[in-house]
Amino acid sequence: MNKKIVLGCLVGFIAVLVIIGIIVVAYIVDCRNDMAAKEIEIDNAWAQVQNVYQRRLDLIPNLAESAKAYMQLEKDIFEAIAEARAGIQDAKTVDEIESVNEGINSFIDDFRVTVEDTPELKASGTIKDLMTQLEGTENRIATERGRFNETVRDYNIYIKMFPRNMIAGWFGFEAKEFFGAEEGAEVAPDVNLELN
Amino acid sequence: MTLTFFKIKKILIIFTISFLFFFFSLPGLIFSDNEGVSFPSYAGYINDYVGKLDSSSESRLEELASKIEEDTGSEIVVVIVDNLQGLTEEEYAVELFERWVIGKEKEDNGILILIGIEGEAGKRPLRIEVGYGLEGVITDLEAGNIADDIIIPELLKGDFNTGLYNAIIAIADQIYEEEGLEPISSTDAGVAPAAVESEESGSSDSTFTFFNFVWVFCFGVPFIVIIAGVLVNLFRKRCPKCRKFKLRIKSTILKQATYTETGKKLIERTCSNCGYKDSREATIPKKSRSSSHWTGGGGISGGSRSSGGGGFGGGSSGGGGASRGW
Repeated sequence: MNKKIVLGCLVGFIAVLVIIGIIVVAYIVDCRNDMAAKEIEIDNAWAQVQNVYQRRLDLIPNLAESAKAYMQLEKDIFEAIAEARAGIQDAKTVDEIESVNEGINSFIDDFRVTVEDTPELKASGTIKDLMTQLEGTENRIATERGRFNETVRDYNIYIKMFPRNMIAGWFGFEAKEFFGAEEGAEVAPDVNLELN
Repeated sequence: MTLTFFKIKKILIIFTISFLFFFFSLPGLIFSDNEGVSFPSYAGYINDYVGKLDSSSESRLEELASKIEEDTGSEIVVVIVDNLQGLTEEEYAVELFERWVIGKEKEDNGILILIGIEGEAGKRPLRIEVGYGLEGVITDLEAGNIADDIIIPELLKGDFNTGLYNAIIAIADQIYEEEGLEPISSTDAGVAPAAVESEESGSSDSTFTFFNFVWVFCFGVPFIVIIAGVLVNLFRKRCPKCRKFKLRIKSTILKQATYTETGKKLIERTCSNCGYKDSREATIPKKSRSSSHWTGGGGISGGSRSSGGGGFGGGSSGGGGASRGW
């Protein structure tokens, strides 16, 4: 009598274990898939960032052309642009894409200062248009960087919470980097082009 | 006795599930974006929070925006506020645009005209934020020109109505041309103001996969309970002598239970295999007044993250457009 009871209990016990096992596995699979999905979100946001940086690059020839009489341009601005373009395309990390754009950033700063200091440029309609477009691309860059940061934050928080952090470890999901505040952002000269 | 034991077990299990669920979903609800900045809730296409538009102007503008939405699907939204609470026009406009999800979801054909009225002359904020889908139709330059040539002169005269009306027409003309429609005439031919469609923007889906997990739990646990129940029942039928599950149980009520006294019943068991028989008396518990049946289930309601007040078509912008000080 004892043996059969024990056997029956064992069977029931094992059945319960199996079900718990299934539940645990389902949870792990869910989490892992979520992490993969969030990574894809980050990739999408990254592509947008690359996009808007490229878009800003498109403006550079116009800027250079309009102010060439007053600016000291690099020997071959077009080479610099082509390099930057390739660099942005290949950049995989926050640091990479920021260092690729350093040269472009300083060019744009120089441009702004030149316009501010040169009355003819300041009054020019063409320059005014270019500045509008420039502001537009800078704003887009800021927006896409912000959105990228959001996707990274979402992902980082997700993989750091317990018990997901263990699951992340098993599948090789690591925390990712954010964009910091843009260095040049606070010092952009306030260029007022309105003729009062 | 066994019945009450199962009830308790079920209560405990449901409580544990609910607790675990909340424990895991709480972190998701905590984070918010711009802290301390309160964005207004939309009232329609035209949202004047400071009273620069009288009601007939506002309705006329609202009708115009509605008509444009009907004809092209584009959502042109106007917001007039006192100040931007410390944010730049770009920051404020982009975030408001995101919250209100202006424009249709797939086409992103939304436009936001944002005006702040506080500040010195020349420094008051004005921005036209253009949705992703309309960036080709209303370029940054065009937005800037509309701001400079159409809106600002009228704002400086104090005539918000004319400035906004003409600006919306100018924007609409571009859109209509793009769509191959006749440009909108400046006198609306008696269009009845259409009700603003408020589509709830979709809730985030990061809780859905967790939901799946909860469903597994919800099926698995009752399943375990059922199996356990079946097993116990089975063992009741086990003959003590020959150990086969062939007992037949017959219970006869000797004395009914009342509200004040317990009852008695006679339980006779016969094994159809070996002929074993036994009988015993058992007490029937007292009847209880209010049959407090534990109703199971209850609120495991999902916590879907709400995206604060979005009521337009689900569209988004990328920071395109132009800002001006007026």
